Amino acid sequence: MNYLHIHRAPVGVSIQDAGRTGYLRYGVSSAGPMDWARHLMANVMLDKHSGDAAIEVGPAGIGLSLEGEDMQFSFAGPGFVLKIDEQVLPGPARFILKGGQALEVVPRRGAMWGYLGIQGNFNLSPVLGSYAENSVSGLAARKITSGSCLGVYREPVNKPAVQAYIDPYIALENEPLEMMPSSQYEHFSSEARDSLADKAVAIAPRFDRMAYQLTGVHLHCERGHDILSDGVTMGAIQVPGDGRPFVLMADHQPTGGYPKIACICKADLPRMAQMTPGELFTLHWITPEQGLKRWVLMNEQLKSLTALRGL
Amino acid sequence: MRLPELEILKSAWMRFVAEDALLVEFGEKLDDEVHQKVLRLDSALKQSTISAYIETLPTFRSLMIKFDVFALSQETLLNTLSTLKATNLKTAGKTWRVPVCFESDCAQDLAEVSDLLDLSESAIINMLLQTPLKLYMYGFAPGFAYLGGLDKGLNIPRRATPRAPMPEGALMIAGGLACLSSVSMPTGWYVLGQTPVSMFSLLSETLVPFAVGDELQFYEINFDEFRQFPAMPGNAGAEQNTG
Repeated sequence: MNYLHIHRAPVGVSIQDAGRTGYLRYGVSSAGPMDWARHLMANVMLDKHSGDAAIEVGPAGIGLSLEGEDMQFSFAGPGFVLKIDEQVLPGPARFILKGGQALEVVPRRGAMWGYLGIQGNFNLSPVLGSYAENSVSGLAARKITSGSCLGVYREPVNKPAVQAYIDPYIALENEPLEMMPSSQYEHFSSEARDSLADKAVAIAPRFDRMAYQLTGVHLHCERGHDILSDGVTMGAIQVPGDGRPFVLMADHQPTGGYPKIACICKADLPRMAQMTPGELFTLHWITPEQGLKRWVLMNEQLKSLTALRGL
Repeated sequence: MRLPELEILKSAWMRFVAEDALLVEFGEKLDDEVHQKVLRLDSALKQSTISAYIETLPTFRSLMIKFDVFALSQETLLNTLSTLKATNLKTAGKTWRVPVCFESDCAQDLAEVSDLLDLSESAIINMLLQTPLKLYMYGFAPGFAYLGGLDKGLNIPRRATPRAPMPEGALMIAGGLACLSSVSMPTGWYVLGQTPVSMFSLLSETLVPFAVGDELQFYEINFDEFRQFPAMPGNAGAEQNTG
């Protein structure tokens, strides 16, 4: 077995697969990646299943070294670079670490979430059917901290040493993020719905895997801000009594008692997750059918990534 | 014999709240009839042949259906729902006797609620003990149980700003509801007591001690009894009253 010795794991490093399913009714959230697209890319570059476990890296990066035989890895996530000895590699890319070699995932401007894929499987047992860590409830197959050692059943190296790919999300950079009406859309006046789409907004400096607060917009809910709790989804925009909306992210609770005006569409959830505090963006209303079309298209692009030549 | 199609869907309001999540809402207020409709749809779905739904989340008033949109289109899901057959639903839940301590650190906000509602502490405790509360749903956190049937005299709005994390097993009230917490988290609810019963355990086959629809009859224990309660998984410590 190979071992990954984690020598630098600041806050925000966790193991994530596609998340837990089947336990929402007991109050157990699904967890899973903040950015499903880059998580998928990390697995696609290694020909793995889309929901396989990978290491999610937060805005401060990660440092580790490999004990054992040479092994293939992949990394996807905007704003990070990979340092292997003296070599600096931009992602998204697939690469090989030799036994004893160290890897530093270093955040540059705009880095939020990245995914380190492994060619093989972690020596871990799933908890309630999943390897995902929920930062709020603490459910996890294994929490990663500085000093952690992760066993990996490695699969043989079978690909070129380094291969870089094109990130299909780069082309969308300045487009508005799209959202669809959520459960209590009708509880808000048309002025409130319009103002959510008109104004440039940003996320607040304090954020976590549970939620991002939006700044630059204040929403009043005509029918009140306390509702009888009902189910919520990742990307839902909830509006509490202070009128400052927040977007529910990967570790959101299964149910919520604040009105939900909108939900960020699946294709744009990765862009939502990767917004840095203060970075301005706008929101745009679409229908669930339009959202689904974009999601399907995005999935196709991600599953047939374009390799970058000349590396 | 051909079973009748699910009548309750005629009174439902539906929306895709995400590309892969359909919300079927039966009402906006706490109402046993609404809650029964949620459970009946959930049961009908479970016994149907629809295979591409991933899971359902029943709450007080709605059922969220998460499905694999790559295997089942939004349109097909809606069409299939309209052909669902009614199923027999178990009518009555169980009743449990659940120990709660209202002393010392277990009752962190009892004095505050006593002031806010102008009721004596013993009057508040008696109101919590007089009739069983019904478990309507789990949500918010693993094993976090929402209870209805609270005495109307204990209606108090949620705090404007959350208080410090409540203990595990806290019996709390706010917004006309009661709840039992499982994990320690900041909360907008008021902590009146604490149960030593574990509300969520990976070691328990059912994960949670009580089922949705069950009734919980609280009984008072003192702080010594609370501390000595066996810290065992699952529903150890709660006794079933009737079956």
